[in-house]
Amino acid sequence: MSEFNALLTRAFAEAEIPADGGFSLSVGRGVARRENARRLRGAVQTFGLGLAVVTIALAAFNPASLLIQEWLGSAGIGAARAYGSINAGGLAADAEGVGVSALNSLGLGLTQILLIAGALVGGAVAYRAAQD
Amino acid sequence: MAARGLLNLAQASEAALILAAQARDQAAFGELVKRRQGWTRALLRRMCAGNHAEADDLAQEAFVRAWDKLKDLETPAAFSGWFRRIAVTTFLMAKRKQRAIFEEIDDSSPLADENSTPESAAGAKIDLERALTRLSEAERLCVTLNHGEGLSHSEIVDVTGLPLGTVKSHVNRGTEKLRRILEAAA
Repeated sequence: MSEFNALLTRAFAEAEIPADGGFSLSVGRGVARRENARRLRGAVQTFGLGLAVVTIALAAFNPASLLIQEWLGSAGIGAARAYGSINAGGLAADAEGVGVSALNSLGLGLTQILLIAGALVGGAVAYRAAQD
Repeated sequence: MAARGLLNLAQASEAALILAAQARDQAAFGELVKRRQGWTRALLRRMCAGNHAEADDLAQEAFVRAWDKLKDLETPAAFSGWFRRIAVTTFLMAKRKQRAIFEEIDDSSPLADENSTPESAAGAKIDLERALTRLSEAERLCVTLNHGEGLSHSEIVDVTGLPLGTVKSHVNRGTEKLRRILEAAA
């Protein structure tokens, strides 16, 4: 049996190897199609993710800006009152006004802040998707 | 990176081609296919009982699958075994779709048409491909991996996922069948 096994192994080793005959070219075309499909899928995913991020940012913008403005405003009033009570009573009203207006300005700037943050997050997600 | 450096693909080492292909260089992978296609198609043709068209389709599928999974290959030195596993898995998946394999594990798998096609070889020349067509799918797979690829029984278990006892049984039974076929032909 072992003699036959050796004969069999030799027969396998000596078996005919098929010529290429365009096979490699055909595989190359298949791989190219696969790559094109992969790139297209990646681009669609990136676009979709970007769109999702922008949509979420826009949807979250209004409630978030109102909430943060209110929060900053009340924090500013509190700070101004504290400042006023520490210093002379006559200055308190002015300080309160300055604090409120400064923090309201900051609150109004939230539009830009949120848009920039959204763009940064969207860009990071798109970059990560492209890397994958 | 490695991909751009391979100006002369035909002279590049296989390891360099594999590294370049891992960097998504299609030309390097094409050269790798050129070098490996003969071995791959011969292996699959034996497994497919000489059905060259089916074997070539499976070989193409195996190469495309290898392209997709090249990132998973840890070292170029492991390419042969890694790609053989992909080729065998591709074959097994196709056969499972056809539900043609593993159904015969417990049967006695008698020789198909044992007396219907007397071998024409006058001498001791082995018409291996024809003889292999007379084994069952699972026997052919195990005998090809054992004698053709030099894999041990446990390595065949690893590649095919079949139980060890089944692999041993298929190898022994398939080898014995081949011996009888080829002795009859001699």
